Amino acid sequence: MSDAAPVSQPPEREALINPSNTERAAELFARLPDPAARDELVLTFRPLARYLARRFSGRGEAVEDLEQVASIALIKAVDRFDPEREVKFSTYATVTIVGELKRHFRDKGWALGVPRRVKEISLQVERAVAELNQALGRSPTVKEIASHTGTTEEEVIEGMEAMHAYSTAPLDPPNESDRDSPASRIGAEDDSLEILERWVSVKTVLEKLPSRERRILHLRFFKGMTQTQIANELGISQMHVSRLLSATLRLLRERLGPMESESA
Amino acid sequence: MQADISVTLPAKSEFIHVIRSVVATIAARLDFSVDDINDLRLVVDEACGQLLGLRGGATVLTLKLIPGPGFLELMVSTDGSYSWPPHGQNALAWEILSALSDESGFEHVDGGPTIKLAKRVRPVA
Repeated sequence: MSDAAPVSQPPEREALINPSNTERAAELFARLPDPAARDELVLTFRPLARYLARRFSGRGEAVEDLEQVASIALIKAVDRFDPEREVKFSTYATVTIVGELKRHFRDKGWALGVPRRVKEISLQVERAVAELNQALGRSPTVKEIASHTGTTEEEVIEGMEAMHAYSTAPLDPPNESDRDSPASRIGAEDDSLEILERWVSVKTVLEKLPSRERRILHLRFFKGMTQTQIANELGISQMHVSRLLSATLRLLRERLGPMESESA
Repeated sequence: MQADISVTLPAKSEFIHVIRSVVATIAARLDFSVDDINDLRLVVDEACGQLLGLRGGATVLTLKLIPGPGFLELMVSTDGSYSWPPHGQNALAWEILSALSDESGFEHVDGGPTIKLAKRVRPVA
């Protein structure tokens, strides 16, 4: 991916931010860490996050995934912004969000030169999986995806691999300040208590996970739900669930160390 | 396609993706669903990650697949000298492996630690 910033201060960007919002933002920042103020800040600047996410679309990533990355980056920006500094929040947020979006692409391995054809197939596969899930009421087989997309089974598998390319990159652990951020409060029915009780050995790692990742672990391992069912429950794509699961398990493995660590 | 398959690679984490690809390809031919193939990927990651994490001077990582009608048996092993059992904290690895597969076990095959797993193709409703 070229590093040419796709967001070099386009004129439309400023239009997204109502000048009165800038004043309101200052008031809200003064009220932090009040959760209501923080939520309002996130809501106010969400159009900016969405706008930036769209600027990165068409590069082999689903728009909704990008919007999620951008939203989380926005929350980070809200939490880290120092109103004392002589920079507008919208500027600070833009830099943070674009940085996170770029990192997202890097982490996914797209930047490592996944051929365009494979990216396209992988998007096609992702769409086909969603459509077939819906049509069949179950997870499709590779054969079914191949006939649905008019590609070979080998290409489908290649596409699936490409989608997982980034699962070899470590999951970004949220920092302390994310813990009670709006993001971690989304999806209020937090099952984490049960998972914390049962996976005691990794309690400290689990506590640091974003609540969505923790919830996915819970649904997969304690509720025995399939990835497709989890995707429906959370309203994200099945492939996204799969990516989050592999990244999370990898993180747990890295944090926990090898099995023998206790006896060593 | 009933013959066993085996792949031997250097015992380094950068080769795990080769094992993942082989498993995914074979599983696709057996008509596993995308959900199950993704579970198999996670299982392979976990099994290889655990074995490579053991300090036992392993030099090779071996995958053996026994495909059958409606099921796939996997064995991942290294040639490291290591004696188990898993205790304490890493019961977690087993929770993960057993939740994602239909059968899971650990043994020493030809002296090397081996994780054995099996997954059945879920019948199409």
